[in-house]
Amino acid sequence: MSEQLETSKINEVCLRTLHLKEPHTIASYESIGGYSMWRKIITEKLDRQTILAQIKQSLLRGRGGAGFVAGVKMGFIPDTAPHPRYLVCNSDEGEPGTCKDTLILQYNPHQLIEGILIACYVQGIDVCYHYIRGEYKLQFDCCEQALEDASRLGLVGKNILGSGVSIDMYNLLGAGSYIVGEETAMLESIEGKPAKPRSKPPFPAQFGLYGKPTTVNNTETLASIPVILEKGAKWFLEYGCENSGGSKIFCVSGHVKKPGVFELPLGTPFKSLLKLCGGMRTGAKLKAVIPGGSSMKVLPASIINKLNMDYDSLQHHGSALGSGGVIVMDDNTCMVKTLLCISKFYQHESCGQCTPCREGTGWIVRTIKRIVEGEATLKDLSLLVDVARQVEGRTICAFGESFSWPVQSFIHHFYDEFEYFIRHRKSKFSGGFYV
Amino acid sequence: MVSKALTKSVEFVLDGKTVTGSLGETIIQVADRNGVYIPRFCYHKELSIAANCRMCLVEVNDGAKTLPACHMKIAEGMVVNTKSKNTRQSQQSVMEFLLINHPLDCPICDQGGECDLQDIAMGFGRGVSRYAERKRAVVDYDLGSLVASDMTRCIHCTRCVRFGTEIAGVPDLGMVDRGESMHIASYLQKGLKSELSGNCIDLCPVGALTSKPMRYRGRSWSFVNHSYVSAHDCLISHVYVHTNGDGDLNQVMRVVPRKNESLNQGWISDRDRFGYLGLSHSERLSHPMIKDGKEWKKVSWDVALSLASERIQSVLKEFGPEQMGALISPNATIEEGFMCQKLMHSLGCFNMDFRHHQRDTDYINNAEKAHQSSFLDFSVLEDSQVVMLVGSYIRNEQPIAAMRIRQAQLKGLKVLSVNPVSYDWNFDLTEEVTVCGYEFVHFLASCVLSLAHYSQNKLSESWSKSLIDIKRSDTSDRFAKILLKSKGYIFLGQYAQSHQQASCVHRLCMMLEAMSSVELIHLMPGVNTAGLEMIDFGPCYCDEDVHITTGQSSYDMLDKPKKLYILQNIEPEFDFYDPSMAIGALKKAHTVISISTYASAFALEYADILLPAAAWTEYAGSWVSVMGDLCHFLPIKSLYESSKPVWKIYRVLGNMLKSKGFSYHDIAELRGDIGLFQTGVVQPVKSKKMADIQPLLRRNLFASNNKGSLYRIANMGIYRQDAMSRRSLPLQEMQAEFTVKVHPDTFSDDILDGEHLLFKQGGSEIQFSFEYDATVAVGGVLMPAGFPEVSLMSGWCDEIEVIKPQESSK
Repeated sequence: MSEQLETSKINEVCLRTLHLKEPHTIASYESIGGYSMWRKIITEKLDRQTILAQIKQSLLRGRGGAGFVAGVKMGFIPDTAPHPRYLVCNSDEGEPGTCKDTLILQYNPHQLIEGILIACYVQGIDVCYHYIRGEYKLQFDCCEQALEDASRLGLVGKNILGSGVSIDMYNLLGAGSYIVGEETAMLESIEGKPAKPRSKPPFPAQFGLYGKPTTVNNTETLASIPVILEKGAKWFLEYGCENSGGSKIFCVSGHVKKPGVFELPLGTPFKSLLKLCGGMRTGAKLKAVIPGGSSMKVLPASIINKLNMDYDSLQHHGSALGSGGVIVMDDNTCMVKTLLCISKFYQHESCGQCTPCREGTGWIVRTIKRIVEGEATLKDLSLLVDVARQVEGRTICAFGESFSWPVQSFIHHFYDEFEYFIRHRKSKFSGGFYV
Repeated sequence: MVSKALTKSVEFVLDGKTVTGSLGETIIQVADRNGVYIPRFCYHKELSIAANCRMCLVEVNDGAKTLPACHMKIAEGMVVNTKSKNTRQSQQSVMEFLLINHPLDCPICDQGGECDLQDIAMGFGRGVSRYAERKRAVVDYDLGSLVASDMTRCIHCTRCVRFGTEIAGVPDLGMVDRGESMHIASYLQKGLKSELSGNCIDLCPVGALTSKPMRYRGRSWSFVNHSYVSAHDCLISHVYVHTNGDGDLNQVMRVVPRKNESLNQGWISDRDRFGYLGLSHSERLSHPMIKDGKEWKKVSWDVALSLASERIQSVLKEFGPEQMGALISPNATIEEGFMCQKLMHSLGCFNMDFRHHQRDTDYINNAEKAHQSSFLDFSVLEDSQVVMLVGSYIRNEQPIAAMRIRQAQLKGLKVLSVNPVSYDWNFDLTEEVTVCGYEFVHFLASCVLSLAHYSQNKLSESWSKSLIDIKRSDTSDRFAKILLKSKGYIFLGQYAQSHQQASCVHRLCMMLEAMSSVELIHLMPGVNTAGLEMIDFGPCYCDEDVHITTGQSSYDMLDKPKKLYILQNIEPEFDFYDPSMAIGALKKAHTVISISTYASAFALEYADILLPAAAWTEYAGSWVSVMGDLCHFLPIKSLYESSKPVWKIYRVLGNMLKSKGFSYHDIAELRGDIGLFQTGVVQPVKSKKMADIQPLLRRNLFASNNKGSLYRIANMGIYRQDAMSRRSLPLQEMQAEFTVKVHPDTFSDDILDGEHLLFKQGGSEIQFSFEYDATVAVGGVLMPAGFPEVSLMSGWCDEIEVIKPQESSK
């Protein structure tokens, strides 16, 4: 792919209003064809199954991190399920390195609302709670304004456009926790309880918010839906690559010349993404990349350079696309200190309800701290990996993996650096991320 | 809800063996039933599933990920392996995590020897710790005088939190903070307020929550375990009493619940748990004592008993048997009651009673027994639709019954309340009426009218005539509609029984019972009311179905003072309906013989002969609970100093007075003489037919001259109901303070909250500050009973006058 082609294919799905003068207004959104799908669906009462089939066909995968096929998830609530049913839109992007939803909320909130309405229509859902992270006060206000504007036009609320269909929507502001991004923790939080993930099964589709059938989707996932229906599932599928339809917003941070947020077709080579960011900082060489937010496994330059940014390709090489938070590290980065920084975050954000996570996070942080303070032995390295492995798969939610994977992958790929640090009681490199 | 008919049986493989369970069961439930042990901390049969300790992870279907057995439901064809390498690794990992921050200070921990963490670590942990970092320390908050906390030891299983929110209905404890700093703390650091809080001690799998009174006082392995029954309310909860088996110490170390699904399940109230601490109070009476002028002298049993029999004989000679009276505690055993009754009858005296909280004596004189129709059955309660509380603060009076009501209520039971105060319940009420004094009777009367209306029963002429001034109301209609369609119970509590019109209340409730399918249950204060009534202890002795009502009830005996009183474990200042009248009568008496476990300062004033009685756990006896259970118990510790079992005191007294039939060698021989023990089965008296229930409404009941008077409302403090609890100091610390409360609408004058007022009742008057409280019925003055503050006040439910002090001085 040439550089021209790539740049022309930028910000075409979720961020497609970005080039307009006042991208967040309802007028701007309608000027590019916004709400046309929703008006059509609601006035012509289009068949739910046909819409769902299109979403399935587009191979839109969950943009929150797990990458589950959205169309399949939307089919989990059976037609016979009781009402009320709930949709929860997850805008609590807390994954370090991720800042994609904020742009949708701030610059294209109407597309999100349209996506939510279509998703509700398809699943026969009565109420949507839009959960926005506590720090996004500005974005919350944007969404409130957008919701008000859409309500005024009768696009949301009771008896939408005289169709007899009612879908209520509420924006909620969270209280600032990482784990509330976990879907069942979010349900607890909406119910007014501390955000502590529930044990599954039962899954939200059977026993969700207030015990009612519930679907929880990521903001980017929902915001993609109107485009799929406007341009067709085939277009969307072909826009991306095999097994990963459409685009993904990548948030590139770290040691690049121009860190930024880019919505690109899935399957874009990492090298092209790096080029879009102007390459590495002057004089620096790429060392490693965490491709999907800090909880995903780190990949060294030798691997990531060969990869395309899509779900399957990253997974086959031991990491994952995650939330799309691409953290780039140059060859002067101390991986020991970086791991400490990441682990400290997870220690602070563990909800503390189940044993391996509550106790394991602290153990790991204290052991890495001892390495950094020059008080560790080589035995501690194997202990670290062992403790991380002991947590994996034994916790209530996926948080166990979230802090176990970085530890395992950092030590796996950069064992020599950890060993050097322990032997010489100092780092091989001067740089790094500090807390 | 899955109905029972729909439960399907599921077959799956557990450790290589095919086992069956029913659909919806979890792996751990089936494993427990099949004797396969899976280690656990957070899982508890009676609590909701948290699945947060992760100790019960087991391998399912050879999956790489082990799953929590407490949470995973069984499925057809599932293969569960609790011993595989994968399972072991998971359990070892979790065990290691649990131990890294746990202070391994078992030698100084009270839980040592009975600690789940210790036990499971032995079976599933590693021998050595790999953790070399600093351990976590957690701040301890004061949880009150009953539960000691050592939160550093907490493993965050949240059993105590779930107990509070689910079983006790008082969410005292919660999880605060998150991650490593997550800890258990009480709401606003207020400590534990629930009357069931002690159960947290049993629930806590580690030494984080332990018994404060027992702290550092003994090790569980040196205790001797006795199956026993509790002595604090008419439910007679099943308990284990642990005595110290080391050396001659021989004291009660603690009381813990004994499982009984049909009664207290696995829980007991704090009163049952910590009441034993009163056993070693300094007021325990150690030797027989006699009053010599104004001096008290320690004497031998021979001297004390001969003096007692001399005094009895002289009163008998001089004044006749009508001038004597026996007042025994409702906690007295059947054997004690029988002996006392036999003694009094042999002297020709019928003045004896144990219902000291009752003012309305018609009730007793008409030989209406409390256990008219049926016994309480909690398994029936679970399937019932309605419970109506009539003058019953059941949460205070029988805490375990309130807990069972809560459980049933969560399953759909409707709870109606007719009470003088809108109490702080631990369950939700469907309907509530807050009335006191005559309005209390009025409301029940209108319920009778409403129920007659809806059930299309015609009231007899005498009833219609009696209720002529009463009208149905919307509320009584709602009550009647709920009662009409439902099975359930009416609980008559202490207020209903102490009420000036207790007999009317009783008759009205009998009418409600007769016209619906609810059953009337008397929840009487005291332990053995049912048993004592069954042996016809009381002023009216039932002889071949002929009522002889020659005796007097407790109230009458004190209202018309006698020359000689025999008291058995009675504290007049707390136990009587009218303490000031009682103390007056006792002080005037020629002789007061008090057989008592304790000797209070009051007792030393009014008594002439003090005979030390053995306390709970020190004597053999039998009680009948409100469930109809006949409970026998044996002594499990030696007698305190020279105290004696009460029945033996009566035996010697009877022999000294040359009465016949007092030569029992042991309690077995005595029991042979009691009819109740011959059958062994306790039967309730059949309920009356509607036509047989006669109205008992007095002329002045609906008279207008009663309007405008204030009535006292006296509920006994939860830990002020029996002598032993009153002397359990940790319980007293938990007792809510004595406060006088009045509804804001009651006083028309501009009397300010907190002002000191003069409260006048009969001949007694006391100044108290009071609080305005909208939960109290209008026209009522909530002044609890059983407190030293009111030991000189008069009747519990009598009229009360309230005067501003400056007015009175004018």
